[in-house]
Amino acid sequence: MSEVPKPDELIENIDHTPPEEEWEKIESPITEGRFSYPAKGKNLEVMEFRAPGEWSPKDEEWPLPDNWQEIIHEGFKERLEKYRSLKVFMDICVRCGACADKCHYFIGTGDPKNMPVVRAELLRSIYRKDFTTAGKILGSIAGGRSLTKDTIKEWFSYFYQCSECRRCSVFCPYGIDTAEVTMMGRELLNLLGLNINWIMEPVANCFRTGNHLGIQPQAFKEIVDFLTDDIEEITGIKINPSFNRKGAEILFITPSGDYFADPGTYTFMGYLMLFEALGLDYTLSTYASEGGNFGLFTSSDTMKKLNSKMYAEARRLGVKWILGGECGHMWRVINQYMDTMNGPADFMEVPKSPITGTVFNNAASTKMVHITEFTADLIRHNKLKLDPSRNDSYKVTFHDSCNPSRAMGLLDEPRYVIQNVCNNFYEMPENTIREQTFCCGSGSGLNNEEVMDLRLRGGLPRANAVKHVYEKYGVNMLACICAIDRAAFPPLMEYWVPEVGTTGVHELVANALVMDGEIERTTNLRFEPLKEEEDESDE
Amino acid sequence: MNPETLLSQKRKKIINQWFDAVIAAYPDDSTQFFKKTADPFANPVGSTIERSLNELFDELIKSEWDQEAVKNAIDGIIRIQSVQEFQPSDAIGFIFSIKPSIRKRLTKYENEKAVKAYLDALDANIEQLLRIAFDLYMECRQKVFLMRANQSRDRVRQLLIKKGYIEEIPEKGNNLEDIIA
Repeated sequence: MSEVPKPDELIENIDHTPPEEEWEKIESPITEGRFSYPAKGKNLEVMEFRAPGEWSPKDEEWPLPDNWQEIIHEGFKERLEKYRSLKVFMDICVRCGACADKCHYFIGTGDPKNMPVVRAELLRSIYRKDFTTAGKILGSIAGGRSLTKDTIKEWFSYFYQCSECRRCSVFCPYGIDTAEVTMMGRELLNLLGLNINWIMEPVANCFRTGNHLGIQPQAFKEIVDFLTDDIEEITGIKINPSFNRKGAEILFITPSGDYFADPGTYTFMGYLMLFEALGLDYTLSTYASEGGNFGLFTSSDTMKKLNSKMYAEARRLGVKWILGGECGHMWRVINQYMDTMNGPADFMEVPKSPITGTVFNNAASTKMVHITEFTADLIRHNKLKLDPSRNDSYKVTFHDSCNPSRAMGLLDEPRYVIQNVCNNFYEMPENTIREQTFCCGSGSGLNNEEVMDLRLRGGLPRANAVKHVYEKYGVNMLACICAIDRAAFPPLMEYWVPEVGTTGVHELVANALVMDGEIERTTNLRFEPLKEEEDESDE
Repeated sequence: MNPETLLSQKRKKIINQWFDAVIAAYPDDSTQFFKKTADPFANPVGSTIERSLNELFDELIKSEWDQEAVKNAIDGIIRIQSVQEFQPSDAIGFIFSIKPSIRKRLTKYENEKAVKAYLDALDANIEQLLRIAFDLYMECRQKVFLMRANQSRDRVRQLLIKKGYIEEIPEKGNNLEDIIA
């Protein structure tokens, strides 16, 4: 018994001292909960990518091709020549550290390799060694590192611990877009077939069937029919949206998350109700049944392929312009890449609201308008009958989804809409909203269950700000304009602030919308009573 | 010598040392960030740990605890560390880290009967805190796995319901007549 150490001795033996090595030398364990599962071969093959067979990131030996170093070197070289931005981002960082503490994954983990500057250094150090004279001669003295199998493991680990949200870029004095560094890192990994299934499966399904889950055309129509039944029950109005209708004025495209899972479905019902109230000449497409573009997280070629489907469908149907739903990365692709990939979409007209006559010159080239721009314009012109009191059970705050806020500057329109359809709206703290918004922690293909831990720690800064408005104002509803958010927030809130629900903005719009010919509404879109029921049993 | 009074007087210093010991579990680059970034929205981890330790200290040195306050304070840290890849023993280990700092303040009085009794009681209290911390840690882990399982299950379940492949008992059907109808 005397062998048993005393508690004090045990405490003294716990070593909390961090290692003194440089970050390059700190090993990063690849553990369950930190990595997403690899892409399945069938999903890679359908997109004509290398399929390395069954493997796990936990394996000691990864299934790299014999000439993997050559593939990476050539791939890197090609991209440096093709993208001026990449070359500039590799060269100009002075490691000032302005970005270091701005990443939600760093803030939530404390892992220095999650500092954006260090994440970029993972690629930059190889660039210096292989592509700069100083690095070739001086090696590590000039910040260069040799490309090894461990480098590949490190890339896989940390480029898939970045949600490409671009918050760090807001703070970079040089305007380095670290998300683009991550995108290039992922492109290079993709050349080796090292992708994750949560990205490649949606990509493959979207390419082949039309949307992430592989929902077939007839099923899409049946789901929409089901949602219109719910709308009829709530409002007494039966809506019959058209599908694939040639000659419609507008093609409406939204992420598939809006019609296959709650709470997205309520947002989808909201779109349908709004269009019905306006008598809009629009159609849905079973071919372009996905707004989200997971190609953005794969390669520019894949992104281009998936984006082109939307425009091919617009051309086939002969619509004048495209209205886009509440989606995140669809809008980054549209606003920042579409025009150089597949644009300009000259076969369509500059979008013009048929209700107000407003011309959306901001979409003159892409011909695609965000639904909150469209709805804000309707409200501004007093074209909607609204009863905000129908949302009185909600105390709402608004999460700026990373892509619409930072990639297209859509900051005021959603707020304007919410404030016109709700009586109770409260902002989160200034450094957590608008351009400085914190990511949901699950963007860029990381919304899978195997990295739930990573998502929860990455989503902590966002949840912490929500918790603040919950405690201060009693906020119970988190509104957003992104389907990934609507999928990511329910578990994030359940863990950190279980009292707060998640909604799309157009769910709130439809709750407040007074439609011609509607019956007296007794419930909101979730079939929750509009007025608190008086408990008769008390009497 | 009233140990509670003495510890109260040294409150700030003890908590600072405790905080340092807790955040020493993080890599060097981040300890500075967790320690020095005062804005609670820019630094939720550091600020939550700091707030929790303050609340916990105030309860710990008392003879009677507010159980709810103790639980909330521990929950703040455990909820974070249970999703930060800590070993379970490390995640609840922050409770231990206060012991050396308190003992240091009371060593010279430890022959006094009252102080000795106080220290014994304190040890028992810390053990009690560990039990609470362990329960909370398990609660958090179970929640994470439940959410993983739910996400897996729910991904296509709603589609099956909407397609009519599954027909569940409707929510409103609390009465047998409603269900049959």
